[in-house]
Amino acid sequence: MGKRIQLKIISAAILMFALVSLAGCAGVNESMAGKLADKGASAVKTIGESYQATSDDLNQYVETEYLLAGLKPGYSKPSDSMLESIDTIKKELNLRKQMFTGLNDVYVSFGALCAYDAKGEVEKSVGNTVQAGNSLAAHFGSSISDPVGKLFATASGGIAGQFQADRIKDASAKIRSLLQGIIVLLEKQKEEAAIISIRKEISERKLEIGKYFWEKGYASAEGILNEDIQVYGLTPDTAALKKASQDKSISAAIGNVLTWRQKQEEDSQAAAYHAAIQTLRTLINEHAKIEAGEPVNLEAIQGYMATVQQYVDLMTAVKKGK
Amino acid sequence: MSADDKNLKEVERTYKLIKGSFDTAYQNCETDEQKERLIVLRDAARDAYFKGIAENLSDSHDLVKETIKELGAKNDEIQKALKSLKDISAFLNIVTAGVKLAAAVVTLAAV
Repeated sequence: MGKRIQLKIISAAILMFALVSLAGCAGVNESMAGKLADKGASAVKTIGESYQATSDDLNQYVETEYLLAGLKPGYSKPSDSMLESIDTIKKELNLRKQMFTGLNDVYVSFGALCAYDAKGEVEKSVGNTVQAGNSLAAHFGSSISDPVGKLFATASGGIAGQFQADRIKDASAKIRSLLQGIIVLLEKQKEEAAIISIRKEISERKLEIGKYFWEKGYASAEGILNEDIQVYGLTPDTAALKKASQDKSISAAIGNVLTWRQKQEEDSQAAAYHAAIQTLRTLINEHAKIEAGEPVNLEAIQGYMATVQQYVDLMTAVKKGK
Repeated sequence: MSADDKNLKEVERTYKLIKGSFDTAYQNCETDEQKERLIVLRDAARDAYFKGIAENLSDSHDLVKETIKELGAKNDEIQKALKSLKDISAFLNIVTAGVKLAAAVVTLAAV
């Protein structure tokens, strides 16, 4: 075979390879997929933290119950039945946290797949998240596991595709199934009413103990007043503020501020729950866009995450005594 | 709102009605026995509420639906009775019936 013919064959082979490569890449924007991976990672991490915040708050709730039992006439310590239920609730919340931690790993490895074709990492992390989801499903009985199981089965398995872009597309579809399974799982458990209710109960108790200590003169409103009256150079009189709870007008006014803050917290808790579910739905839509080669819109996810983050920050601030 | 959500809502309503009126009702109790009864009822409502959250009330069979209807009606009675706590014995009787139904809903839903 002449050199010219050999060169023609090699050129044709290279051209064929390039065409096949282009066909493989068609439709998937690796850079946008990478951005979706980053946004997804931070979004699901925040959702996991919101479940953790509620679980942490339950410990404080139990302590508040013991405090009230020692202070207010007719108040009882938590019963064994109540403590047992609270333990179960914390386990449920922890299972959700684990599932979202797994989902965070999925997004980190999806980002690695987009950046340097880390196929094995995605398969491993999806497998771990499916396992966490199945643990959660098993915890609530077999009746809900069928539809979830099917979606998780779709998500599991090896990432297929000859080229990186194909593998990104396949991984995206698997993550989409995983997210759909998680939403079905959470909705089947009717967790919305339970999570919002328990968050509300916790914040109502915080208000009760806060008001009790304030009205009895055992708490200082300096923090609140400092925030509200340190304006235009005005400085609160610290010595006078120590007697604030004895002044009926100030006492009632501070009580109103506490009630207002509790209402704000309550509203943010319900909003955070809805925003978390909405984030998962939006991620599903954006994955479908990635797979169809359409541009993604990450602004909506950013908005929902701000709402969930607000709740997490609020809970963290409360723990720090702010 | 689904049937399961409604179960939790009514059990929660029983607990919140008793919790919200506890201090006033306690002051209105004329005897130690009444006070003790009120405490026991509040604690039972609290236990039912937490059990309800923990179980997530995953069932909605007919018996639960029927009981939840009764609990809804009983909660309305408790709400009405709260407007006047003059007859504390009558109030405690209504609350007793309400808490029993709340506990029944949680138990039935968990079956």
